[in-house]
Amino acid sequence: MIKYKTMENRIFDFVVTLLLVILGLLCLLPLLHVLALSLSSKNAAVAGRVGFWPVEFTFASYEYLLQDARFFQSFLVSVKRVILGGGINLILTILMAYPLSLEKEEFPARDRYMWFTIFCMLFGASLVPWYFVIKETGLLDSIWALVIPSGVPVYNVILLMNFFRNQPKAIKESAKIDGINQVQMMFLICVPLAKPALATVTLFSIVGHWNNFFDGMLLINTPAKVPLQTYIQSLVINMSDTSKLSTEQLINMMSQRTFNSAKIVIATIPILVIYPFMQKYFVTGITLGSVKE
Amino acid sequence: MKKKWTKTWALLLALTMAGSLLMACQSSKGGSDAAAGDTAKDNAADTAQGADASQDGQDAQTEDTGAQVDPYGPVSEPVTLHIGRSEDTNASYLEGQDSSNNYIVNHISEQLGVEFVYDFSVASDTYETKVSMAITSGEMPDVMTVTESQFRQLAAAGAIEDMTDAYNTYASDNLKAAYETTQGISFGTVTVDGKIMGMPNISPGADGIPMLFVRGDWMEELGLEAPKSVEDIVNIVNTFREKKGTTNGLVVSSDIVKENGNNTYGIDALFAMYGSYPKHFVEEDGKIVYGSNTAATKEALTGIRKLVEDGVIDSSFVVRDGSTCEEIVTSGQAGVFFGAWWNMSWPLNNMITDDPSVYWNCYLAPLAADGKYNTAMTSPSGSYLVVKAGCSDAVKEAVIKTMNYQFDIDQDQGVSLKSDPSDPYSWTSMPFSLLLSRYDDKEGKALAALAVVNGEKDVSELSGEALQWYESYMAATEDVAAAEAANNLSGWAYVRAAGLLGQEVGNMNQVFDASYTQTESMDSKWATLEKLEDETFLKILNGEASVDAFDEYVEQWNALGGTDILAELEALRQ
Repeated sequence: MIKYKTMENRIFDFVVTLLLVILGLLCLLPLLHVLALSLSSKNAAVAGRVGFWPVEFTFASYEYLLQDARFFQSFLVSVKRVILGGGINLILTILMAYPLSLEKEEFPARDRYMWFTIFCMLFGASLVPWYFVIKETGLLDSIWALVIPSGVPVYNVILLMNFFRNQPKAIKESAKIDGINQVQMMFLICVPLAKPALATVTLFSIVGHWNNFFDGMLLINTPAKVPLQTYIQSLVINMSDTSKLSTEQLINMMSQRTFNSAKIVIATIPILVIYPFMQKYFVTGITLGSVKE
Repeated sequence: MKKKWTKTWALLLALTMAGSLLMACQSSKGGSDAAAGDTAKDNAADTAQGADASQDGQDAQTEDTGAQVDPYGPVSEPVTLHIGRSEDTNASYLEGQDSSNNYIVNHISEQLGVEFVYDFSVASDTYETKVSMAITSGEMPDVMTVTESQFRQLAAAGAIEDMTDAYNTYASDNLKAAYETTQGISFGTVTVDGKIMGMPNISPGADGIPMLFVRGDWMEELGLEAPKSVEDIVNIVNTFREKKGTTNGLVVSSDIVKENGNNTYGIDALFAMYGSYPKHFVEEDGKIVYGSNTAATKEALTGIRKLVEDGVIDSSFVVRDGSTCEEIVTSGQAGVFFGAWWNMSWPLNNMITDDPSVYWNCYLAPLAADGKYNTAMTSPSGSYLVVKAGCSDAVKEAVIKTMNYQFDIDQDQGVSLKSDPSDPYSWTSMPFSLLLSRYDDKEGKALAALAVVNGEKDVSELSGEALQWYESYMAATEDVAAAEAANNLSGWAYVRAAGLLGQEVGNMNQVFDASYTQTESMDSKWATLEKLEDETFLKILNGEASVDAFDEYVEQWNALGGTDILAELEALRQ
């Protein structure tokens, strides 16, 4: 009999818990701070009196936000992007992952494609060629520039491929004996059985699309088409060169902290709403693909 | 059977693969941002070559424009202008309007018969990358604003139009007068071989003059005199600490000196008192020297270091940024700091919401030994509007005429175009992202408002921003709390701060740079040199290094490329 609750183990548990709590707080506190800022009065925010609890509680920022057409415009662009991008990612990930999950006898060129894929994941071209490809294909300044170039997320493909491989062979074989072809096999047998994994990769791509601000910055030229995170980034970024701004702009920029915080809070809500629904799949989804029989 | 399927899958895979290639490329974009800029510069020369030929044909036509030209009349033929613009994402607009469709743009468009099309209109932090990309890809918009280094390359490559004739013919008197207030500095940079190759912006010179802000209500309560010397300032700091319990002395951030002014919580004024102008290229004994490397600067460092030792400046200033300092000041933990004229409104006016008895004074102090207030002057121009080579004369005409409107509308703050006085106005809602003010703009308006206050002028002589300031001043002197509630305090603050700058102009020793040009060596070497300078200065001031480290720094600065830069500047002056 080995007792678990020795002194040594207790200390160990305590240290681990403490570390995890600190890590958790490090993630949570900035969010709380922004939330508190958004609910505080302007003056309290400027004077730095806001910590993790609102000072001079007010909904003024949110009321003001409701009238801000530009914010909702970008919000809609982001929603559109997530639906389009998430859909494209889901379909292409399945189409790519299934063939790669086949046995070598069934698909001899499998390894070559696999290495090619991984090579692309590890070594990418630099920014300028990437920009030129998108420009020459005419995608620039449209929503498609945000969803097509990232159409096949390689990491997700590998996750899903491993998941397909670990599905029980017996099911697939019995289906084959019944005369099923590969397309049917994919859509009727493998995909329905892979719901947890699919939920996981979809969540990855939704979060990725929602949070990505960089490509919106480079590829979109018209304010009306800018996605939400790019818009917010441009609001809160620290300007390094203030010489080209007029006084009014400088003042405006520095006194909008509460308003911008409200925007950030609203922008995080969709992801917070989606997470709980996906969570039950999430844990099984990631780990299932990694366990080998 | 198996083979057939293999083929199908191979095809399917190949198709998906095409998509994944793009995806993989995308994932590595973060680090290569800087590289993009470099390539952009290299390619500027290539793409511009083709444009040369078409430019030659047009030069002949520009001579014979009619004698009677209306700078505000419609352009000779309908024009569509393709524009690259940086916009202000914080600006607000009327319901249903945005940065490219608003009452200001529409007014200019109607008056001139010009259609404005924005090839790109993006947040200012993205703008420079966009311009680089546009130059690299060879698809420049007709008109855009560029930085000085981009301008230099475009001009050298012949990629931009000569604007001399268009400017002389179509610029309004107001615009010409505004450019004259810069005393030739603005056009100095853009004139290449006697030709004006781009239209510079004009920022107000007031932005570059530091002022001393002191809690006026405390001074009155404690019977303190207006400060004139460093000793006076030290005395105020110490009295505030003893009687008012402030925890901080003179509030300073780690940005001790800024080249472009607007330096809230800086100490440019302390350096200037010693005749030292860090970050500015000044003339000394007929030669251009770098202001940070002069003997006067060493003396200034010695003096300011003493202030840090004595605790007048909190030694933790090296880790403070602007927002930390702002918290210290607005929460009443300190009552003295240096800032720009507009700091009187922001952040100081915010304190009045909580406590209407708070009152701030501004001064031009400390004075130098000769009783004058030394200050370096900033360059009025930092961005340049350029027209793509090959554009027609009508395009150039449209550009200059649009600038005429932009200048007048900004002077008026859009008041005459507004259907309701509360409509939002921002100069960034206009077609070109080019600030066109006057070098003496703020002082001029404040003095005009003050003249009415003192009864020297009639209120009917005021218009635009000056009138707004005057009204705010009158409202606030009557009842500060009510004016604060009506959000009408800024003009009051501006009149007091900018007015002081205007009144004291005779007691100022304004030092203009010997050259505001950014040379080629600066593009590559400046970042290193600046870092060396900033670190050395901070170390000396907070006692980490001795003052003698300064001499070592000057040697290093020269060796690392400083000598080349000075030589380039001298060569340009010849």
